[in-house]
Amino acid sequence: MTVKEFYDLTGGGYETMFSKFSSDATITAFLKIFKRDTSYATLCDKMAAGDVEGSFQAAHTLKGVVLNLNIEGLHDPVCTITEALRAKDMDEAKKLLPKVKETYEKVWDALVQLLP
Amino acid sequence: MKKNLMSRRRKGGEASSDEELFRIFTSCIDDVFIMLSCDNLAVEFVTENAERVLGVPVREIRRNISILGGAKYTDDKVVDMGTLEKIPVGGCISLVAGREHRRSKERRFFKENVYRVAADNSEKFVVVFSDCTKELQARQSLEEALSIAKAANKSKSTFLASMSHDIRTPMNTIVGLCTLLNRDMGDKVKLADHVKHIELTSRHMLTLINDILDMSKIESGETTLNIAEIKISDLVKEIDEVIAPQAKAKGLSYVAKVNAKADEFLGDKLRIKRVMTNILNNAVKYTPDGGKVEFTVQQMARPSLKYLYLQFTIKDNGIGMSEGFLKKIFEPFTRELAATDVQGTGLGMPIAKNLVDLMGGTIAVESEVGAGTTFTLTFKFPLSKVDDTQFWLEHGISRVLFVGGNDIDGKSITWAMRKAEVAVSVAKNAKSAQSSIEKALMEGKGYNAVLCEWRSEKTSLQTIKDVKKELPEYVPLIVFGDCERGETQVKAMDAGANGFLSKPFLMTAFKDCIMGIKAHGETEDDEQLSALSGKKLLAAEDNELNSMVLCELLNMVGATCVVKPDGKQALEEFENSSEGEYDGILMDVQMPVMDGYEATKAIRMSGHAQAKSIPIIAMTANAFAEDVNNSYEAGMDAYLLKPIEMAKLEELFDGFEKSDK
Repeated sequence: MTVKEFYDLTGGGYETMFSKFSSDATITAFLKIFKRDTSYATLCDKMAAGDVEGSFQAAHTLKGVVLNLNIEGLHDPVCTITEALRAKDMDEAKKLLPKVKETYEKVWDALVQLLP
Repeated sequence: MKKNLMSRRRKGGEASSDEELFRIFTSCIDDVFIMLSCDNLAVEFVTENAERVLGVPVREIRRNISILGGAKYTDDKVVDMGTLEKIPVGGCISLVAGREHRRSKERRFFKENVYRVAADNSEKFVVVFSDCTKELQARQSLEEALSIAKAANKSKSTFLASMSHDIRTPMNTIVGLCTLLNRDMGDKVKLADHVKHIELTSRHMLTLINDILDMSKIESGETTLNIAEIKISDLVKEIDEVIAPQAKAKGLSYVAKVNAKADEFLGDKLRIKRVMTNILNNAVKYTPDGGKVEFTVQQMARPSLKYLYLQFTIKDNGIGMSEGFLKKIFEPFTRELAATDVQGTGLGMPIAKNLVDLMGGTIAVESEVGAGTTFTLTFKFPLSKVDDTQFWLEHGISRVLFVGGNDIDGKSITWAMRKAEVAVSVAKNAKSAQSSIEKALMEGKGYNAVLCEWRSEKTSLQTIKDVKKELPEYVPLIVFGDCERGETQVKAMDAGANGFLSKPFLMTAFKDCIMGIKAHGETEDDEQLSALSGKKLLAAEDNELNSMVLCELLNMVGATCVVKPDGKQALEEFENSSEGEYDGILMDVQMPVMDGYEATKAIRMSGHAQAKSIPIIAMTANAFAEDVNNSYEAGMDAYLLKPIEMAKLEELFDGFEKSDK
């Protein structure tokens, strides 16, 4: 799998990333780090524990990561849940979490194909 | 004319034809005619051009003449009903008045003639407003020019008088001393004393004459600069040799500091020394015992391949200067009244100013009586040959990878580049190079240039391809060794090489190669570097990926970055840094241990020399007004939304530099 194919599978964003960094090698290095990034896992844990503030911090961090990597498929779900948690609306956040999980799992599957 | 001005009431077409003609005439001119009844000043007639000329609609004037408002009469004349009543029939009064045009608010001047005439069995006032604004303005300009010419003439006369006096005084002293010499021929002690005084006085006179000649030459445009290479260190040392002994003799503390990465530039050393020593001499002269004089040379942060921007500051805690004197400090022969016991020609400052102007610089002075004086001079000097360290900084190269098995080459490159503060890593082969590139990237310290040793054609071409695959496009890959010109070099370029460098490794050749690659890739004037080029930033970012992305982006524009994972560590790093080490701080807002707001507040309250001035930029994924306000309240200067766009960051730094200027 190429880097472009990864982005195509995950909702797009490759062109913007490439125009910024002009190197698949550089983008791949970033994705390697993303593979070990813990903000998604932390978000799930904190939400399971009912920790609104902790969940917000994790979502906020994940939002920054997703924006930096320009994984377009994850933009909306992560941004929406971040805002719900900013408003301390745990109920709303819980409703949004499945969508985040579903999208993240897709990204993860593609990531594992790119970086076995 | 008076009678011609009267509109005759005739019946029929002839009257209306005359009126129509009059209307056409008056619409073209700037004279307004108003006719009033002498009894009650009721307006009986107004020319239509009144609205254009005076800014007041005709119908309003018809209702009441007082709508024209008060006029400010020149010569402070006052015109009232009494004045008007005194005008005999057939008589006239003339005034010049300033009035504000009601619509445009422009100030205009009018010659106002008021005639008293008899018409239709009654008496009328006919008021004629003639716009004389241009005439008056022209006269004022001429009067001003005359005043300036007179002042300049007076100034020249004063200059000549002062000059004559200042030359005559020491001349008289010398003549007097010669008389004493004759008288005291037999007394060796007195003789020696007289000779010493003659010598001192002669030197003073020579200095004065030289200063006068210099002033004259500069003002007549005869002075040309002698441009040559100058080392900042030598310049400061030579100035030091003149000033330090004077300061010491007077019991003053004298400190010279240089804060510049570059050391060489092109300029007129003699003139620069002259300017600095003139000002420093004054600083020493006008600072009492126990005082302090500081001389600082500071390189200003303006990335450029062609110019060096230097700021010279001379600060003392001496007697200072009054506000009144500051206004004429650069005029010849002026001296502060409080300093009449201090020797001088009174030409040092004017000469300094003229020389600074000649060199295209600026000079500013701040002073307070009793507190001291600070002179600030800024210059833009051409760079002669670019200093090594400066060269690599400007080109954004601080880390180089050498790919090759030859230990001697690796060591010589490392040693040569170390002097220019460029770190060199060595990889024996393509695989090792790939790991090294990836590791460097992930640490946020990607390489800025790669040298690939050329061995056999087949192996080397493969190495180039393998290494190039891992490199960002903007990082040049240079073949190092004997790669044959022609077809072989073309193959190397197809594989990904950007340039060629022959053995042995020479710094100048490597620089030329880099410049050649950059020139090939650039279309703009190479004066236009990124505002971030050469900058060193401190970043606080707790997320590994975000910090890596940030470092890589900064690397791409020639900046370097030190990242700390939380606000507390960023604060500590800043507090322990030297003044000027960091050009700015990028602060993530949400961080563990200490968030961006707290860290910023702590930085602003710290005792670091740059605590208040260093630009701090918030990096945030939020654009809410509350977050923006919180950023500014904490003491941040700006905020950037993630993902960070370099263009926006460059714009911010460009703005910071301009506001510093």
